Formats: sequence, C-alpha cells, structure tokens
Amino acid sequence: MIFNSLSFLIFFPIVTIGYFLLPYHWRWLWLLLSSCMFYMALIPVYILILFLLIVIDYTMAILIENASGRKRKFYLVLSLLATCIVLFFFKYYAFVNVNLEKVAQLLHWNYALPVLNLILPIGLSFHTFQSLSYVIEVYRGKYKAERHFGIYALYVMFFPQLVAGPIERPKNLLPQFFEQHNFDYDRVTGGLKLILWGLFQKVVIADRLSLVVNRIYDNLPNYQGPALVIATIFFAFQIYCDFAGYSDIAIGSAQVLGFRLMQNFRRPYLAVSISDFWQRWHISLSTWFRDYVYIPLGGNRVSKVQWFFNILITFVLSGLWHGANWTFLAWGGLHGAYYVVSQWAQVLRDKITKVWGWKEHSGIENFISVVITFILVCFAWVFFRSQNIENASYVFSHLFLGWNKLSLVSLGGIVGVPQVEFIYDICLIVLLMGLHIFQEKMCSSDISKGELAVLQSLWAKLPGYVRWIFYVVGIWMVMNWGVVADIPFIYFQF
Amino acid sequence: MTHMKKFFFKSILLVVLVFIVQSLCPGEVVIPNEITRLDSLMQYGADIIYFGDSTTESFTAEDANKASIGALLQMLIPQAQIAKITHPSYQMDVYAAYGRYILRKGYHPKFVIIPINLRSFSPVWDINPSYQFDKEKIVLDVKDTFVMRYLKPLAVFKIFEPNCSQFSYQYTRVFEGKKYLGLVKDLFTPPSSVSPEDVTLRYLQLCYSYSLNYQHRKVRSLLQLVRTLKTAGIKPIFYIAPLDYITVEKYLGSKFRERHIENVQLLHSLLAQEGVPLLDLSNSLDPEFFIWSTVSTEKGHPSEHLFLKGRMFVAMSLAKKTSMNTFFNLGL
Repeated sequence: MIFNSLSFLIFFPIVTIGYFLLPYHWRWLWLLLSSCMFYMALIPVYILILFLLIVIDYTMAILIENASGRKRKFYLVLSLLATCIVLFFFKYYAFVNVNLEKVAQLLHWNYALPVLNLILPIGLSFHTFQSLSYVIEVYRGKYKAERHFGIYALYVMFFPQLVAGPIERPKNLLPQFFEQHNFDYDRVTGGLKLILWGLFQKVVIADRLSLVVNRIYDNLPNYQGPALVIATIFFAFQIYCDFAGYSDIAIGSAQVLGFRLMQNFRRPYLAVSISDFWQRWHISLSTWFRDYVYIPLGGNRVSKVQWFFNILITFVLSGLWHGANWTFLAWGGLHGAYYVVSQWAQVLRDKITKVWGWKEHSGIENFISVVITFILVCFAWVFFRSQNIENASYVFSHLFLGWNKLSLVSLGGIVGVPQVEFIYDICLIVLLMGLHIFQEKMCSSDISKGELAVLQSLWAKLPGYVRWIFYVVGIWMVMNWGVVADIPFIYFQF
Repeated sequence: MTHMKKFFFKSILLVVLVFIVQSLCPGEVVIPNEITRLDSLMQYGADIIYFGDSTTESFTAEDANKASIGALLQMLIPQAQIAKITHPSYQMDVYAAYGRYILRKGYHPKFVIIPINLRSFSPVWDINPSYQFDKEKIVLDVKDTFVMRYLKPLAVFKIFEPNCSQFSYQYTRVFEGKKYLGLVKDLFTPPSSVSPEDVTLRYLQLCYSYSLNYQHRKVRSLLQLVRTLKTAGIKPIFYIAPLDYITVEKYLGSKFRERHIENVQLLHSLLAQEGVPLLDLSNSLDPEFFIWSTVSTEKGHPSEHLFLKGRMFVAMSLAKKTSMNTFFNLGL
C-alpha cells in the first residue's frame, strides 16, 4: 500500500479508530495485523521473506543474550549472515552476476551462473537494516532481547516506517509498543498536519518536478547544458520532497497513533558543508552507518590515512545500500571524496575566511558555503539519477554546451514544458526554500525548545480562522494540484 | 473522550468545508483524446463508429499507403461518416465502457464496428497492467456528471491505477488445457540464452494457449457491450481480426487449431444468442498478408498486424457486411 493512494486514505482511519477503541493489551496485535495487510497490498508472497527474517533475528537475539564468550559472536555472525544473504540474493545477485560475467568474458573463462529475474521486495534494505541494528544492540548489551515475538515482529513491520523508514533503533521504538497511548487531541492533529505537509511535498512538488526530470534524464541525447542543469537541480528538489514527504507521512501517521519516530531530514539544502549535509539528509541511515560501520572501523580515533579510508568505505557502502549499480557506488564514493577533501582542506578554508576578512559564520560565508555545498550535492545527484555511468558521463560532458542559445523567456521550452508550468515549478521550489530558511531562522533562535515545539508554538499563535484557511486550502491543493501519474516513491526501489 | 468528540466534530466540519470548496473550484482531469474525438465526431453526426486496436493500423515502412482499415472503409463508402476511435491496445472492456457512454449520451450511429483481436483474451492483454485503461473507463462512466468535480482528487490518489500489479502479471501461470507452460515472465521475456525460434514459440504459447469460457472477463465485457448497444438501438458489427494462423499452427501444432475452433465457436454462439452475427476473418488470410511485428517488445513475433492488402481485405469485408452498398447506394 502506498501513502498517496485511496486505499491508504481508507486504511489509515480504520486502523486509527480500531487502535483507540481496542483495549490496550490487544493493540499490538491490531497494529501487527494492519502492518501485514499494509505490506501484503504490495506483493503478498514477500511477507514470507519478512517473516523468515523476523524469526531468525528474534531467535538469534535471544541466543546471543543467553550465550557467553565466543558463542555470542557466533550467533551474531549467523544472524548478520542470514540477513545479509537475503539482502544479497534479492538486491545484489543480479549486479554481481552481470559484472562477473563481464570479467569472465574478458578472461575467456566459462561462466554459467543462472540469471534470476527477481523483483526486489519493497523496503527490503530498510527493514533488514532495522533488524540488524536490533541484533547488534543486543550483542553490545545495550538492549535486552525482546521476548514477546509479536512485539518484535511489530518492531520490524510497523507499517508507517516499514517500506521506506525512518530506520528506527530498538531503544527508541521497541519500548513504545509497551506504552499506553491515549487519544491526545494535539498529538493527533499535529500528526495529521505532518501527513498533509508530506502529501503536499510528494504529490504537488516532487511528482511535478519529476515530469521535467524524467523527460530529460530518459532522453539525454536530446538535451544539453541548460536543460541538464535544470533537470539536475529539479531532481535535487524532487528527491528531497519525495523522500522527506514520505518520511513526514510516516512520522505523522505514527504520531497519530502515539508513536515518536526519529526525524529523517532537517532542511538539507541549507547545509553549509558536506558533513553538515549528512547531518541533515536521511538522518536515520547516516547515523546507522555512523554507529554500525564508521565507529566500529575506528572512526576518527585512528591515523589520518585510516580515518580517510573509514570515511570513504562508509560512504561507498552507503551508496551500495541504495542500489546495485555502479552509479550508486559512484554517488557514495563522490560524497566520501567530498568529505575527505573538506576535512583535509579545513586549514585552507580557515585561511581564506581570514584573508577575505569574513567573520566566522557570517551571513556571506554561510551563503557561499550553502551554495557551494548545494552545487557539490547536485553534481553527485547526477550519478544517483542516471541509469548508468555512460549516461552520467554524458551529463558531465555536455554540461557546458548549448549555453549560447539560452534565453530566460524560453526556459520552459528548453526542458520541454510550457513556460507557465516552468515558472510554477520554480515558484514551488522558491516556496519550499523560503519555508526552510524561515524554519532555520526560527529554530536556531530557540534551540532549547526543540524544532517541532518551536514551529508548533508559532503555528498556534495564528488566529484560528487563518489556520483553518490553511488546512482547507492545503487539502484542496494536494487534491487538485497533485500530478495524475503513477510516480512511485523513489526510495521504494531500495 | 471530550477530546475525541471535539476531534470528531472538527473533522466533519473540515470534510464539509473541503467538499464545498472542491465543488466550487474543481480541478480538471485531462480527458483522453479518443473520448473528446468521439464527442466531436458524433456532434457532426457520424454514421458509423469504428473502434479498433493496433490490428487496424499500418505497422510497416513497406506499406506505400499507410491508411488504417477505418480510413480504407471510409474510402469505400465515402457517403457514410466514420468516427474512427482507435488505440493500439484497446480491447473489449474499454469498448464496453464506450458502449455505456454512447447509451448515456444518447448518440445514435447506425453501426458500431468492433474488432475482436484473439490475442486480447490472453494474459498479455487481459491482465497486463499497462493495458487496463482504467482512466478511459472511469472517465467514460462519469464524464459530464457531478462526479467529474471530484475526479481530480480521486485521480491524484490513484483511482486510475489498475488493480493488477506488474508482479501478479509477471508471475501468472500459463496453461494449455491442464498442461502448465510457465509463468508470463518466462514466456514473454525469456532469458537471452533461449533460441529465437523458442522465443517465438513461447510468445505464441502465451498468446494462443487459452481456452475461452463464458466467465472470461473479456467475454463478459463483450456480452455487456452487445446488450448496451441493443438497448441503445444500435446495430453492432463484430468481426474477428485475421491472424497468421498458418504460422501459428506451424509453431503450436494441431492443438492450436482445435482450440481456435472451440474459442471462435464460443464467440459465435454467445453472439448468436443475442441475435448478433459474427464475421470471422481469423482464418481468411495467408502469411504473406501479415507483418512480423516491428513493435519493440514483440520483435520477430507473428501477429495480427496486416499489410495494406490485408487491411484492404478487412475493409472490403466490412463494407459488404454493413450492407453499405445498398444502404448508401455505392454499387460495391
């Protein structure tokens, strides 16, 4: 089931009403059954894979907790292997197979591994990572193995974040299944507002921008410099609105039911550096890699060379997590390289700031940093969006061509849409960035309260009728400005 | 509990407000070209509506004249105005929706011509999510009614998306009688190691191994269409599009012919029960009338697409069938 569908609009109120009407001790079962239904609406048979992973990790976590010495490690490795094998089989087998075949052809070897046309179970990378984090936390002794099988299954399958995250940690989500959530007017309406905003980002902004992006990236040879630049910038906002929209709907849905999911995005395109970007983009994944890959490798408490290596390997793995394609590896690798270079050039940047006489974190320095970071991120998005490395190379090699024909009054024509629509797209991006700048200023002015609380208190200050106008117009806009096309959430494919 | 009540009443109020605003300022859904075309042609008083799929069109550069069967029929009977409503993969349940629309709008063409493409009963068409045309079907059912005001929100929330998924389509099991042949994905897109001959065999098995029965979705749509047109007082003309039966039989053997006869017989008797004749052109043409399709996904597969001489044959058969020679005094 997808969030922006009629079936979810019917499913979610039923689940919510049932949840609050049921006695507390039956609620976990209601949520589990609802989550099964949510997942089975996509490809029913794949729930068996999910069930298998749940049984393995549930059992292994208990075995780890009860064992000592080497046995603990053995069970951990067994659990990690089982989860990773499933992930490898569905997600990476075809990629590895194709590439091994190419190598074998070069070396004139006989190579005959069968081709399996498997469809990737939706959200596999998300829930496998959530399961991995649970087993690792139990192994580290930071969390007690969950004895209640149903609750553990619900931890993996909780429908708001089952398909595309946020990737939760056991210590945040698991205890919440034991809490008694009563109907709280402010919490429920807050969640609904978040759902509305998420839908707006997805169906009004992301889907609309995707029309331009898809047209250009699916027909690259027909386009040059200006169109490629516009498409890449549009893609930057498309993927943000698509994924942040999904996350907001997920967080909002969970909030309605009384659950707090972790924040996944924090205005990433206002980041002043690549490291800042990664503290704002897909936070649940970047912190996962930080906690379970980067720090175990030694983090920054090693030699400089080893540190840079740790950064690079973490980013390449993060790229690989996204998909079995060289483009994702290049995307991750490029971000890793950015990160390493930015750390290495820190001294140089400090000197430039001093020579030019800028105060630290002054407006102009921040502005230039934001722009440079955005450009670097967009360069990396080229790999992420391209079908293959050849297409990405085409984009880079044609980026500076065709600028002499540029005319501001016909930009829409360059990307193949009417000028009015193009201006409309630009207005949506400006609106989004304007909101982000406003939020950033508001939240930085009162850090102690927490972001959501700051925004909520600002919202509450508006007169009631103004808020109601916003709600009605917001819902109307989602319903009428949304794009009528089957444009799946980008992160579903991961 | 008071919080719940407050929430409940405010929610109702919000829904009512949104409903009012939506009624006053409805968003627009783009109407498919074929429907607007039908409306405008019927306003000019078209005598014949000719529905069609790719089998009515030219599919090769070798054709000097690329006229479709509809266009050729128009040349044969210039006095009659023919409204050609075609789409490469239109099929019976879309035609049934058009039938309901024609009845609802009170259009009164003298004839409606409907081709029956035998491949359209196979899984390749029947359960392929790309060939469901939910948008067309829904728009035909609600166009010019008050529901149109609320169609955009429903469309944004995926009401036009087909019920069947790519997964369920690709993993559908295909049978020849009781013999299991494979999954759709294995027959439609076999691995590259499979020989070209075997690729063709698998494709033909997928297209022609079905056995029709009265419960088949498309057969029920056919029946519904006949009854709708009869209610509207319009004479339907059904014909089975020619197929390259010699080539297909070469691959599938004599069992294909047996099944083909049974399937056509079922269509004949179904329409006969409704008092509607069926023009069976399925076995009328030899292989030289057919193009081995150059449609990318079907490259190298025999299909019902015809060269000009084949299309002309169908057009002439239809002209005769519609008795246009006497009706329009053409002397054909």
